[in-house]
Amino acid sequence: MSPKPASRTELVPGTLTLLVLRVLEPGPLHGYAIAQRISQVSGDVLRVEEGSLYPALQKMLMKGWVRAEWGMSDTNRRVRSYRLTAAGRKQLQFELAGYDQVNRAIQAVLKLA
Amino acid sequence: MMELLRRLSYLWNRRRHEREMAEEMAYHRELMSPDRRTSFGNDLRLREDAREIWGWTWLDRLHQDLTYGARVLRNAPGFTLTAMLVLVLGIGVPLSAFRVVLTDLQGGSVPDPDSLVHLTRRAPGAHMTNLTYPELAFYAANAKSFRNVIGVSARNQAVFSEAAAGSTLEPTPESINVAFATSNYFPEFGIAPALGRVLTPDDERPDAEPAAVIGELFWQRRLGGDADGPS
Repeated sequence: MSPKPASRTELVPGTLTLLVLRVLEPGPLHGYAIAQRISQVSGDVLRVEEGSLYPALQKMLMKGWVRAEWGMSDTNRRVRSYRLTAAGRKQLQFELAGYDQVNRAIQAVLKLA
Repeated sequence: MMELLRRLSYLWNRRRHEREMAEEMAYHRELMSPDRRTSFGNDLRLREDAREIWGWTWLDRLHQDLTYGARVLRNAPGFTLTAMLVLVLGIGVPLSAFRVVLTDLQGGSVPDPDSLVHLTRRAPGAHMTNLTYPELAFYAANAKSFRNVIGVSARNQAVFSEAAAGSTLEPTPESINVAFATSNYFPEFGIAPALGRVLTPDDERPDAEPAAVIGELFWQRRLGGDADGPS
Protein backbone atom coordinates (compact mmCIF):
# COMPACT_ATOMS: atom_id res chain seq x y z
CA MET A 1 0.00 0.00 0.00
CA SER A 2 1.41 3.32 -1.00
CA PRO A 3 0.54 6.30 1.19
CA LYS A 4 -2.28 8.49 -0.01
CA PRO A 5 -1.01 11.64 -1.72
CA ALA A 6 -1.39 14.62 0.57
CA SER A 7 -4.03 17.11 -0.50
CA ARG A 8 -3.83 20.54 1.12
CA THR A 9 -3.10 20.14 4.81
CA GLU A 10 -3.66 16.56 5.73
CA LEU A 11 -4.49 15.84 9.32
CA VAL A 12 -2.21 13.55 11.19
CA PRO A 13 -4.00 10.20 11.03
CA GLY A 14 -6.09 9.55 14.10
CA THR A 15 -6.22 13.18 15.20
CA LEU A 16 -9.53 13.91 13.50
CA THR A 17 -11.50 12.16 16.23
CA LEU A 18 -9.52 14.05 18.86
CA LEU A 19 -10.18 17.41 17.19
CA VAL A 20 -13.88 16.73 16.72
CA LEU A 21 -14.25 15.63 20.33
CA ARG A 22 -12.42 18.75 21.46
CA VAL A 23 -14.51 21.26 19.47
CA LEU A 24 -17.69 19.54 20.67
CA GLU A 25 -16.64 19.88 24.30
CA PRO A 26 -18.10 23.38 24.86
CA GLY A 27 -21.42 22.48 23.28
CA PRO A 28 -23.20 20.75 20.42
CA LEU A 29 -22.41 21.68 16.81
CA HIS A 30 -23.62 20.45 13.47
CA GLY A 31 -21.34 18.88 10.88
CA TYR A 32 -20.54 21.98 8.90
CA ALA A 33 -19.91 23.99 12.07
CA ILE A 34 -17.47 21.35 13.29
CA ALA A 35 -15.44 21.65 10.10
CA GLN A 36 -15.65 25.46 10.22
CA ARG A 37 -14.61 25.62 13.84
CA ILE A 38 -11.57 23.45 13.30
CA SER A 39 -10.35 25.42 10.33
CA GLN A 40 -11.04 28.81 11.99
CA VAL A 41 -9.33 28.01 15.26
CA SER A 42 -6.33 26.56 13.45
CA GLY A 43 -6.03 29.72 11.34
CA ASP A 44 -7.12 27.78 8.27
CA VAL A 45 -4.14 25.47 8.57
CA LEU A 46 -6.22 22.42 9.37
CA ARG A 47 -8.99 21.71 6.97
CA VAL A 48 -11.27 18.84 7.71
CA GLU A 49 -12.15 16.93 4.59
CA GLU A 50 -15.89 16.58 4.45
CA GLY A 51 -15.31 13.12 3.10
CA SER A 52 -13.61 12.08 6.30
CA LEU A 53 -15.72 14.14 8.71
CA TYR A 54 -19.02 12.33 8.18
CA PRO A 55 -17.60 8.81 8.36
CA ALA A 56 -15.75 9.89 11.50
CA LEU A 57 -18.96 11.23 13.01
CA GLN A 58 -20.76 8.00 12.16
CA LYS A 59 -18.01 6.06 13.88
CA MET A 60 -18.25 8.24 16.97
CA LEU A 61 -22.04 7.78 17.03
CA MET A 62 -21.50 4.06 16.83
CA LYS A 63 -19.01 4.14 19.69
CA GLY A 64 -21.44 6.18 21.74
CA TRP A 65 -19.07 9.13 22.12
CA VAL A 66 -21.54 11.58 20.63
CA ARG A 67 -25.30 11.78 20.32
CA ALA A 68 -27.04 13.31 17.33
CA GLU A 69 -30.08 15.55 17.56
CA TRP A 70 -32.09 17.15 14.85
CA GLY A 71 -32.87 20.81 15.28
CA MET A 72 -33.65 23.92 13.27
CA SER A 73 -31.05 26.28 11.90
CA ASP A 74 -31.39 30.09 11.78
CA THR A 75 -32.43 29.69 8.18
CA ASN A 76 -35.15 27.26 9.24
CA ARG A 77 -33.42 24.19 7.88
CA ARG A 78 -33.37 20.86 9.62
CA VAL A 79 -29.84 20.32 10.89
CA ARG A 80 -28.30 17.48 12.85
CA SER A 81 -26.07 18.57 15.68
CA TYR A 82 -23.73 16.41 17.65
CA ARG A 83 -23.43 16.47 21.41
CA LEU A 84 -20.65 14.94 23.44
CA THR A 85 -21.73 12.13 25.78
CA ALA A 86 -20.11 11.16 29.07
CA ALA A 87 -18.31 8.37 27.24
CA GLY A 88 -17.19 10.99 24.70
CA ARG A 89 -15.68 13.16 27.43
CA LYS A 90 -13.82 10.19 28.78
CA GLN A 91 -12.59 9.34 25.31
CA LEU A 92 -11.45 12.96 24.84
CA GLN A 93 -9.34 12.79 28.00
CA PHE A 94 -7.93 9.47 26.90
CA GLU A 95 -7.03 10.71 23.42
CA LEU A 96 -5.61 13.98 24.79
CA ALA A 97 -3.31 12.05 27.09
CA GLY A 98 -2.22 9.81 24.23
CA TYR A 99 -1.62 12.75 21.94
CA ASP A 100 0.32 14.56 24.63
CA GLN A 101 2.59 11.62 25.12
CA VAL A 102 3.30 11.27 21.40
CA ASN A 103 3.83 15.00 21.07
CA ARG A 104 6.34 15.13 23.90
CA ALA A 105 8.15 12.14 22.44
CA ILE A 106 8.39 13.84 19.04
CA GLN A 107 9.61 17.09 20.65
CA ALA A 108 12.27 15.21 22.56
CA VAL A 109 13.58 13.60 19.40
CA LEU A 110 13.52 16.89 17.50
CA LYS A 111 15.49 18.71 20.21
CA LEU A 112 18.07 15.98 20.36
CA ALA A 113 18.72 15.84 16.64
CA MET B 1 -22.45 -4.57 23.82
CA MET B 2 -24.10 -1.17 23.45
CA GLU B 3 -22.14 -0.73 20.27
CA LEU B 4 -23.61 -3.91 18.85
CA LEU B 5 -27.11 -2.73 19.69
CA ARG B 6 -26.45 0.59 18.00
CA ARG B 7 -25.08 -1.25 14.99
CA LEU B 8 -28.21 -3.38 14.80
CA SER B 9 -30.44 -0.34 15.10
CA TYR B 10 -28.58 1.14 12.12
CA LEU B 11 -29.33 -1.99 10.17
CA TRP B 12 -32.97 -1.79 11.17
CA ASN B 13 -33.39 1.91 10.39
CA ARG B 14 -30.94 2.19 7.55
CA ARG B 15 -33.33 3.94 5.16
CA ARG B 16 -33.87 6.70 7.69
CA HIS B 17 -30.18 6.91 8.54
CA GLU B 18 -29.24 7.19 4.90
CA ARG B 19 -31.83 9.86 4.28
CA GLU B 20 -30.62 11.81 7.28
CA MET B 21 -27.03 11.64 6.18
CA ALA B 22 -27.90 12.74 2.66
CA GLU B 23 -29.80 15.71 4.10
CA GLU B 24 -26.94 16.58 6.40
CA MET B 25 -24.42 16.49 3.58
CA ALA B 26 -26.63 18.53 1.29
CA TYR B 27 -26.84 21.19 3.97
CA HIS B 28 -23.10 21.14 4.44
CA ARG B 29 -22.62 21.62 0.73
CA GLU B 30 -25.00 24.57 0.60
CA LEU B 31 -23.08 26.34 3.35
CA MET B 32 -19.73 25.88 1.65
CA SER B 33 -18.38 28.69 -0.51
CA PRO B 34 -18.97 27.92 -4.18
CA ASP B 35 -15.27 27.55 -4.99
CA ARG B 36 -14.88 24.79 -2.46
CA ARG B 37 -18.10 23.06 -3.31
CA THR B 38 -16.47 20.85 -5.93
CA SER B 39 -14.04 19.46 -3.41
CA PHE B 40 -16.87 17.85 -1.54
CA GLY B 41 -16.59 15.01 -3.98
CA ASN B 42 -19.11 12.52 -5.12
CA ASP B 43 -22.10 12.54 -2.83
CA LEU B 44 -22.83 8.85 -3.30
CA ARG B 45 -19.22 7.92 -2.71
CA LEU B 46 -19.19 9.86 0.55
CA ARG B 47 -22.34 8.25 1.81
CA GLU B 48 -20.85 4.91 0.91
CA ASP B 49 -17.82 5.68 3.07
CA ALA B 50 -20.01 6.59 6.00
CA ARG B 51 -22.13 3.49 5.55
CA GLU B 52 -18.96 1.46 5.73
CA ILE B 53 -18.65 2.63 9.33
CA TRP B 54 -22.01 1.08 10.21
CA GLY B 55 -20.46 -2.22 9.32
CA TRP B 56 -23.25 -3.64 7.18
CA THR B 57 -21.77 -3.14 3.74
CA TRP B 58 -21.01 -6.84 3.50
CA LEU B 59 -24.73 -7.50 3.85
CA ASP B 60 -25.48 -5.05 1.04
CA ARG B 61 -22.86 -6.62 -1.17
CA LEU B 62 -24.11 -10.10 -0.42
CA HIS B 63 -27.62 -9.02 -1.32
CA GLN B 64 -26.40 -7.37 -4.51
CA ASP B 65 -24.37 -10.41 -5.48
CA LEU B 66 -27.28 -12.75 -4.87
CA THR B 67 -29.71 -10.62 -6.85
CA TYR B 68 -27.23 -10.30 -9.67
CA GLY B 69 -26.54 -14.01 -9.64
CA ALA B 70 -30.24 -14.85 -9.69
CA ARG B 71 -30.80 -12.49 -12.61
CA VAL B 72 -27.93 -13.96 -14.62
CA LEU B 73 -29.23 -17.47 -14.00
CA ARG B 74 -32.76 -16.51 -14.97
CA ASN B 75 -31.53 -15.00 -18.23
CA ALA B 76 -29.61 -18.13 -19.17
CA PRO B 77 -32.01 -21.04 -18.52
CA GLY B 78 -29.90 -23.48 -20.57
CA PHE B 79 -26.84 -22.82 -18.52
CA THR B 80 -28.82 -22.89 -15.30
CA LEU B 81 -30.34 -26.25 -16.15
CA THR B 82 -26.96 -27.72 -17.09
CA ALA B 83 -25.30 -26.36 -13.98
CA MET B 84 -28.08 -27.72 -11.79
CA LEU B 85 -27.87 -31.10 -13.45
CA VAL B 86 -24.13 -31.23 -13.04
CA LEU B 87 -24.41 -30.27 -9.38
CA VAL B 88 -27.22 -32.69 -8.66
CA LEU B 89 -25.38 -35.57 -10.29
CA GLY B 90 -21.99 -34.50 -8.99
CA ILE B 91 -23.20 -34.39 -5.42
CA GLY B 92 -25.97 -36.95 -5.50
CA VAL B 93 -24.21 -39.85 -7.18
CA PRO B 94 -21.13 -39.94 -4.94
CA LEU B 95 -23.40 -39.50 -1.93
CA SER B 96 -25.55 -42.51 -2.76
CA ALA B 97 -22.48 -44.51 -3.75
CA PHE B 98 -20.89 -43.63 -0.46
CA ARG B 99 -24.03 -44.69 1.38
CA VAL B 100 -24.00 -48.06 -0.36
CA VAL B 101 -20.33 -48.59 0.46
CA LEU B 102 -20.95 -47.57 4.05
CA THR B 103 -23.80 -50.03 4.50
CA ASP B 104 -21.62 -52.65 2.84
CA LEU B 105 -18.79 -51.97 5.22
CA GLN B 106 -21.11 -52.11 8.18
CA GLY B 107 -22.04 -55.60 6.97
CA GLY B 108 -18.50 -56.65 7.84
CA SER B 109 -18.25 -56.81 11.57
CA VAL B 110 -15.14 -55.22 12.93
CA PRO B 111 -16.24 -55.28 16.56
CA ASP B 112 -15.24 -51.72 17.31
CA PRO B 113 -13.61 -49.87 14.40
CA ASP B 114 -12.80 -46.83 16.52
CA SER B 115 -10.50 -48.82 18.76
CA LEU B 116 -8.45 -50.20 15.88
CA VAL B 117 -5.02 -48.59 15.66
CA HIS B 118 -2.01 -49.03 13.43
CA LEU B 119 1.30 -49.57 15.13
CA THR B 120 4.38 -47.93 13.70
CA ARG B 121 7.82 -47.44 15.15
CA ARG B 122 9.39 -44.04 14.94
CA ALA B 123 12.86 -42.72 15.36
CA PRO B 124 14.15 -39.30 14.35
CA GLY B 125 14.22 -39.38 10.58
CA ALA B 126 12.80 -42.85 10.24
CA HIS B 127 9.64 -44.74 10.83
CA MET B 128 8.77 -48.30 10.05
CA THR B 129 5.71 -50.44 10.23
CA ASN B 130 7.54 -53.74 9.98
CA LEU B 131 8.16 -55.89 13.00
CA THR B 132 9.73 -59.29 13.13
CA TYR B 133 7.48 -62.07 14.37
CA PRO B 134 9.24 -62.41 17.76
CA GLU B 135 8.88 -58.66 18.32
CA LEU B 136 5.21 -58.84 17.42
CA ALA B 137 4.73 -61.77 19.78
CA PHE B 138 6.44 -59.76 22.49
CA TYR B 139 4.08 -56.81 22.00
CA ALA B 140 1.11 -59.14 21.91
CA ALA B 141 2.17 -60.72 25.19
CA ASN B 142 3.19 -57.56 27.02
CA ALA B 143 1.26 -54.58 25.67
CA LYS B 144 -1.23 -53.58 28.36
CA SER B 145 -3.03 -50.95 26.30
CA PHE B 146 -4.18 -53.31 23.60
CA ARG B 147 -6.78 -55.97 23.89
CA ASN B 148 -5.15 -57.80 21.04
CA VAL B 149 -2.27 -57.37 18.62
CA ILE B 150 -2.89 -58.48 15.05
CA GLY B 151 -0.01 -59.00 12.66
CA VAL B 152 -0.29 -59.05 8.86
CA SER B 153 2.63 -59.20 6.47
CA ALA B 154 2.79 -57.20 3.29
CA ARG B 155 1.49 -59.02 0.25
CA ASN B 156 4.04 -61.23 -1.38
CA GLN B 157 3.99 -62.47 -4.94
CA ALA B 158 4.00 -66.21 -5.31
CA VAL B 159 3.46 -68.62 -8.14
CA PHE B 160 0.72 -71.16 -7.80
CA SER B 161 1.16 -74.15 -10.10
CA GLU B 162 -0.70 -77.05 -8.52
CA ALA B 163 -3.33 -78.87 -10.45
CA ALA B 164 -6.88 -79.01 -9.20
CA ALA B 165 -7.74 -82.19 -7.36
CA GLY B 166 -8.78 -84.86 -9.84
CA SER B 167 -7.87 -82.76 -12.84
CA THR B 168 -5.73 -84.32 -15.50
CA LEU B 169 -5.06 -81.05 -17.27
CA GLU B 170 -1.57 -79.64 -17.23
CA PRO B 171 -1.73 -76.85 -14.59
CA THR B 172 -0.98 -73.31 -15.72
CA PRO B 173 1.31 -71.49 -13.32
CA GLU B 174 -0.37 -68.38 -11.98
CA SER B 175 0.95 -65.45 -10.05
CA ILE B 176 -0.92 -64.95 -6.77
CA ASN B 177 -0.64 -62.68 -3.75
CA VAL B 178 -0.10 -64.20 -0.37
CA ALA B 179 0.18 -62.57 3.01
CA PHE B 180 0.99 -64.03 6.40
CA ALA B 181 -1.32 -63.21 9.27
CA THR B 182 -1.49 -64.02 12.92
CA SER B 183 -4.23 -66.43 13.89
CA ASN B 184 -6.34 -63.73 15.55
CA TYR B 185 -6.65 -61.85 12.25
CA PHE B 186 -9.87 -63.56 11.12
CA PRO B 187 -11.79 -63.62 14.39
CA GLU B 188 -10.82 -60.03 15.21
CA PHE B 189 -12.22 -58.77 11.93
CA GLY B 190 -15.29 -60.90 12.28
CA ILE B 191 -14.51 -63.08 9.28
CA ALA B 192 -15.92 -66.58 9.48
CA PRO B 193 -15.02 -69.28 6.99
CA ALA B 194 -17.64 -70.36 4.46
CA LEU B 195 -16.06 -73.78 4.47
CA GLY B 196 -13.40 -75.46 6.59
CA ARG B 197 -11.69 -73.36 9.22
CA VAL B 198 -9.70 -70.15 9.62
CA LEU B 199 -6.32 -69.96 11.34
CA THR B 200 -6.08 -70.99 14.99
CA PRO B 201 -3.39 -70.30 17.59
CA ASP B 202 -2.06 -73.78 16.91
CA ASP B 203 -1.10 -72.63 13.42
CA GLU B 204 1.32 -70.16 14.94
CA ARG B 205 3.41 -72.89 16.57
CA PRO B 206 6.81 -73.32 14.90
CA ASP B 207 6.10 -76.99 14.26
CA ALA B 208 2.62 -76.44 12.80
CA GLU B 209 1.75 -77.59 9.32
CA PRO B 210 1.41 -74.64 6.90
CA ALA B 211 -2.20 -73.59 6.53
CA ALA B 212 -3.79 -71.12 4.12
CA VAL B 213 -7.16 -69.42 3.82
CA ILE B 214 -8.25 -68.87 0.24
CA GLY B 215 -10.97 -66.90 -1.42
CA GLU B 216 -14.03 -68.53 -2.90
CA LEU B 217 -13.34 -67.52 -6.48
CA PHE B 218 -9.82 -68.97 -6.37
CA TRP B 219 -11.19 -72.14 -4.83
CA GLN B 220 -13.75 -72.48 -7.63
CA ARG B 221 -11.36 -71.66 -10.43
CA ARG B 222 -8.15 -73.37 -9.45
CA LEU B 223 -9.22 -76.07 -7.04
CA GLY B 224 -12.37 -77.24 -8.81
CA GLY B 225 -14.68 -76.16 -6.01
CA ASP B 226 -14.15 -79.46 -4.25
CA ALA B 227 -15.80 -79.30 -0.86
CA ASP B 228 -13.18 -81.63 0.63
CA GLY B 229 -10.55 -79.18 -0.54
CA PRO B 230 -6.91 -79.96 -0.95
CA SER B 231 -5.21 -81.33 2.06
